[in-house]
Amino acid sequence: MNLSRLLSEKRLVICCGSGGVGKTTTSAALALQGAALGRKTLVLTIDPARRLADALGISSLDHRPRRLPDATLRRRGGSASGTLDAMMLDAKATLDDLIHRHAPSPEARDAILANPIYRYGSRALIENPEYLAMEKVNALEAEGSWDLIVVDTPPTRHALDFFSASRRMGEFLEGNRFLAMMTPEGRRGLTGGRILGFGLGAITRLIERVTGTELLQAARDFFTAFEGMFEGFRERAARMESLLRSEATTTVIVTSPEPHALAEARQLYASFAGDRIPFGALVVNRVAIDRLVEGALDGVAAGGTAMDSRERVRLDALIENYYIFRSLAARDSRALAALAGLGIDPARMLIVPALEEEVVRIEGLRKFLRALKPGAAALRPPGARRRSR
Amino acid sequence: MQDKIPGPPPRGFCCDLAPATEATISTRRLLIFTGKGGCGKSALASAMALDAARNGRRVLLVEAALRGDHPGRLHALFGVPPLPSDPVRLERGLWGVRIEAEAALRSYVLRRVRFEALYRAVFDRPSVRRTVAFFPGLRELMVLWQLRAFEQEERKNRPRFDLIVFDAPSTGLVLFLLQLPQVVVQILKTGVFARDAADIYALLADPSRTQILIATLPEELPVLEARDLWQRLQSLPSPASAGIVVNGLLGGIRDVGPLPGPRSARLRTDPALSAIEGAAGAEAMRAVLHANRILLRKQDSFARHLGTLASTRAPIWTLPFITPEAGNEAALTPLLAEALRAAGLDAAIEAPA
Repeated sequence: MNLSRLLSEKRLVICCGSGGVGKTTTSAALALQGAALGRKTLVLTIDPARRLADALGISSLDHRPRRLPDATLRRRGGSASGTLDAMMLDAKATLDDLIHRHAPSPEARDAILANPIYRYGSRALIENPEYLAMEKVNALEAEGSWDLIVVDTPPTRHALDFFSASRRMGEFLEGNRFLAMMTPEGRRGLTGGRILGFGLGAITRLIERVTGTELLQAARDFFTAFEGMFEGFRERAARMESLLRSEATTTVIVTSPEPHALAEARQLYASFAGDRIPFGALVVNRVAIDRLVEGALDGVAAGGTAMDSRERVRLDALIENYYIFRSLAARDSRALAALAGLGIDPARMLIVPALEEEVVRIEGLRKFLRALKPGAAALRPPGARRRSR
Repeated sequence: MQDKIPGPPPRGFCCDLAPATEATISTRRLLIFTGKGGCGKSALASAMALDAARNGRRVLLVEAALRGDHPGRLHALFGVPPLPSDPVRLERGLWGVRIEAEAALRSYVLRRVRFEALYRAVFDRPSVRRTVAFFPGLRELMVLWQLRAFEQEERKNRPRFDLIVFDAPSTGLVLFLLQLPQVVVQILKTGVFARDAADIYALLADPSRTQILIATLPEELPVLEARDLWQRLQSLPSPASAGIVVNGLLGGIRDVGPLPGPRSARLRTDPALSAIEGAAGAEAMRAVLHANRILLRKQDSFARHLGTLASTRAPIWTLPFITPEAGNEAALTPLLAEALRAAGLDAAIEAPA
């Protein structure tokens, strides 16, 4: 299945990969392509930097979907029905919204917001926004206003965290039962309850000895206040888990030829297979490509004798720089050749050569899309072209 | 053989950098490398540890796993099997160890509670483990507690290690460090935990014992993250931060002046490009032009990113782009150790006089 078909048929395209590989640019380009194919498209970025706004050539983005002007999007031959909306995840607003919307009562809401565990934990959720991103995607998808949602996942070290976020939340919610037992109500229900022969009192005292009484008290308060919300969280976590694995969803792994990014891409690819998460395509961005045959510049040293010395120096500098680039290209070419071992369908392996100009505005994205090609040709090992100097 | 693009960036290549700090890390015992994932933090920590060990110090190189299964990075950089939870000798004067949050929690509780049967009954239950794991900062705290235990360890009445180099798991752990006092005051308050947390903070926020180095790459996101982290560290009462190390700077790029675009009319009138075309053909000329335009773009962005970092007034060290043969990461470590010596970073880890 090629990229156009993915973008025509799927409802959710999740772009993931290591930070700094051009994930936001790729997401914007795929969304633009989706709109060009006539779909009502939304691109959601989690990156707080201005990249998506810059890539789309708009002044600002916030947590509400913003429609790109028709004139920006439309060009000759473009489908009339496609639209493109863009928005940025505001992790704090998403979390506040969750609590406000789902708290069973104003009292429970205030107790949660004031609880020290919540206040610490919420900071962690905002700084590592995988879970909140997943909640937002879930809400947007359920809203049904778009044919296609392209998600630019958070720039985490472990991109997989995005996919396991809802499962981890589910596990956490199960785990809370233990603490719930330590609330007065929970204990009443379990009179004489014992765990492997130890009374709850002894266990509580053990935990308290390590954590101090305040922490345990705060945890109990937190779970008591959260009680009425658990079911909703559990249901949404389950919905997200099945959405991630459904026919409607696909993933695009974005990487650069840097070793660290490639390592993460491989890890993601392997985990997707193991986790039954549908894989759509691998995009290798910023590949240095050099197609000159070995020795092509040999004649240059002899030529140019008629030049003045300043130009002669510049000529040498141009050639020296070329060989620096050539060693980068050789490295990238080896990296791509090593990727062939993954056995990815060549139509799903897309290469974007290093571009001479920054990808900004719709024009830049169109250039990016034109440069993005299935990598079969680029994957040919350099062999005879290799040259040392 | 390695592809090594030699040499530091030419003078005047970028902005004026703040001079690297005079303060050495010689008397300090704990060196923490942090930074966004993928910035070469592990490679730097390894090279730094190797360099110190080769200069006569007894060094422990530490990596940590906050969540179970990741096999770690350091062993690959020395070409050995994954690191165990007890220090293992990597070479003369150098040991490596991996701290796992969960194992650290276990040994912590056992040491503090001394009642193994009860520990097993309670903490070995998956639901309890998951719940306990949720306690704010617990994993981070356990890792740091184990780190401090290594720092305190003595053999024959002297510290077992002269220097501990810690490859911190991304920036999260250092951000936790920043929040530690609030965690103690607002959440832990009393109990064994609170006391231990205060001790850990006392070590990590003491610039005479601990230094934090931020690893970054000359790319936008890593640079912004390094800048923000540096600024947040400076907001501490006594910041134990040494500076920022910029990894992977492509050196040796020569100045070729302005270049025409690939479709520009000026292509015909550019003497050097015309000479290349004359000698080697249009295709070769275009390849040379493309290569130079890509490098020029890289160089411009390096300069911009270094400028961003320079605005923090942090001490900055730059290291050249080095890439080993695919699949042989261990070859990188000694090369990088040489590079950081050349960059003057070694002065920070000389053995005390």
